[in-house]
Amino acid sequence: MRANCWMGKKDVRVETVPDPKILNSRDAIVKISSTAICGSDLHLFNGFIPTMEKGDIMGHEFMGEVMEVGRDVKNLKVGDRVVVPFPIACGACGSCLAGLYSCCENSNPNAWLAEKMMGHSPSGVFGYSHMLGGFAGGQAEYARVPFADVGPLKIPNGLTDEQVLFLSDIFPTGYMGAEMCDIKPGQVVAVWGAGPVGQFAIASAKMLGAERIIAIDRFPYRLNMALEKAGATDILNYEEVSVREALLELTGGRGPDACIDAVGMEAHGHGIPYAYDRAKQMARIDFDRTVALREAILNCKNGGVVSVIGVYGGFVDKFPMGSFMNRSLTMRTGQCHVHRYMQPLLERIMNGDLDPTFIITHRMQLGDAPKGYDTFLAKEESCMKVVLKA
Amino acid sequence: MDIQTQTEGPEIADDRAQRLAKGLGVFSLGLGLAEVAAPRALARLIGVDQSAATPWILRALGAREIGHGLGIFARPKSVWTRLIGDAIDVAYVAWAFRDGKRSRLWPTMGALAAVGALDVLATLAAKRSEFSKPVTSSMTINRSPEECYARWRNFSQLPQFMRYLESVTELDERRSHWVAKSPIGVLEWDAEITAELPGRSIAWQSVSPHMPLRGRVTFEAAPGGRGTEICVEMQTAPFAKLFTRAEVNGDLRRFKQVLETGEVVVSDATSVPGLHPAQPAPQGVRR
Ligand SMILES: NC(=O)c1ccc[n+]([C@@H]2O[C@H](COP(=O)([O-])OP(=O)(O)OC[C@H]3O[C@@H](n4cnc5c(N)ncnc54)[C@H](O)[C@@H]3O)[C@@H](O)[C@H]2O)c1
Ligand SMILES: [Zn+2]
Ligand SMILES: [Zn+2]
Repeated sequence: MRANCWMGKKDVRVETVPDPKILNSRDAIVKISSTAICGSDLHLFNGFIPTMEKGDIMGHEFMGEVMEVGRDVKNLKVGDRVVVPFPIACGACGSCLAGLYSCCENSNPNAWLAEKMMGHSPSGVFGYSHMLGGFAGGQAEYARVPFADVGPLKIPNGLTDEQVLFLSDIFPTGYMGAEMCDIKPGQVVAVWGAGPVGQFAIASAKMLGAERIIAIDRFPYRLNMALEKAGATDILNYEEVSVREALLELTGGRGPDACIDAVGMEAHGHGIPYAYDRAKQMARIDFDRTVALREAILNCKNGGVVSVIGVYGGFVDKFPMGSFMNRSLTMRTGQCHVHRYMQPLLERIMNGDLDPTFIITHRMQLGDAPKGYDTFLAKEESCMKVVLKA
Repeated sequence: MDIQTQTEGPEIADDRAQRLAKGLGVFSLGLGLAEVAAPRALARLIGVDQSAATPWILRALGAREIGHGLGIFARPKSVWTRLIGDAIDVAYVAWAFRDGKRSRLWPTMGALAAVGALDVLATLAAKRSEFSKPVTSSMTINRSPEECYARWRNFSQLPQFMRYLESVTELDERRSHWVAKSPIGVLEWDAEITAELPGRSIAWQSVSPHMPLRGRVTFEAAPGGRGTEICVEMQTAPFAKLFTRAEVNGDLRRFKQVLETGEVVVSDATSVPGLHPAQPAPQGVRR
């Protein structure tokens, strides 16, 4: 089959690789109809996530048709149309039973590697380094889906791929980012990053009843989408205004009740702190640049929540612990526990509460994946989300 | 090797190894300071010639010696670095025979040999005390202690999650025959159960003299209804190197997978031996 492979830093190529096979009895093989490129893939593309190997198949946002099922998969049959959640979860361990699917204790066969870096291991993830399992990803014609009796969501007829594809990751991720804010009526939420994840965080904060939602980014087309499509009430272009002053003004000097970091480890910024982060990241002393996270913490209202859905890989320096501690802030975070949001959010889509297709700006063939990465990374052609048809 | 005394021994052996290492550390510091502070007097004493370079050579050797001393105090296990120093010292004294004072150089060589022997002893002792520590690992499994115990007690099925085992054959109630592949070839031994509390714990030991090995596994109900806390403790000979902490931990993780999900979970990269990218393997070889 054809698959988009990581060949090194800033180098992905569509190659011919062997077809996947059933390896465990709870596997399914899915023929992929649509797959997407995620901001998380850019972290791999830019070489900031350790333990990638040349030839790794990328991609963790995909859906398609079931072609084959292992002998212990009873809930799916050949021909079913499914969306696959990006974390791989067994459904039976303590974490899965607690709803913490992205912390599944059984799905990462390279858990020892992750333990070395992180203390304990999260779940396996499709196409996301060997530290997270070494699972082939979904930017391919076919994928092997482990624990197919737990993860994949069957899609009812009448919904298009584009309507449901983002249930695999970014819609649930944005929703979880907003849910972790414990939004109460009248509250103000600020969202750093108006990428696809930020857009869904904004839309979800609106569904969950936030009074005011402030989007922060530097690309006007992204900010405009936040305002016009996702439901932000205010937008801040940090190239043009001081985020701190604007937030104080918009919140009567209190600061936002909750701050969502939808930027992650490759935050962009200005000035000495940014140059410092970037130099260290380049020298591989640090994996993470934390401009947005620092700003989210410093600006959050006393006693507020900092919800971190942007991905971080390693250790963080110049973390404003004093501000965080003295002002009774709460931080909530995680790779999204996608499984627990898929069904309720599918219902939201069917009800018409939200049409996730608004973020799609580019549709390409799988063979054009490398071009898709370049366009998405460079934010060319007002690129927001690239969907690949396999 | 009598593994019984070995289990009880580590602290004592450790203590002796540490004392020997530290003694050598003190010696390093003393000699080093003498070499740095009074190189000329020392040169006369040990019989090397008195050229212009000699004091500087002795000072350099002294600085290195102090380095050993400090290193040993920071970490007694680093006593092996003294062996390198010994080699340098011997080479220097041998070279001094060219035009030094032989009647002094011979006793110096003798002293070096004696200290060298102590260094070898201390290094071996440090290594031994390192290896005699039991390997331990624990895991919480979302199943009852009885179920975990029963699965473990079914020895013939252990190779399913203990990767280095080829087979385990139960000979009778207490005895079993084990076959393992290791980096040094196939290993075989007989083991017997030494103590057992059904549903709670199993202790075993090898009865084959060439394969000193004992182990114990306990199954305790985890607090908060979270299943079972399994703890494994293994003690093995250094040469076998079969049961490292990483290996035992991997065993437990796979045991957990088997109990909670029905089988050992593999990814594309881990489905074949060796390094493999995260893409399907050509022939679907399963490890
Ligand atoms: N937690 C999860 O489960 C999960 C799932 C998917 C994605 N993610 C992560 O979410 C993050 C965003 O993903 P995306 O697909 O939207 O990526 P993206 O790269 O398209 O979006 C990031 C946005 O952040 C903006 N940005 C950069 N620096 C900023 C700063 N200092 N202040 C404000 N905005 C800034 C960029 O301009 C960009 O628009 C990534 O880190 C991704 O890995 C997390
Ligand atoms: Zn994603
Ligand atoms: Zn699980």
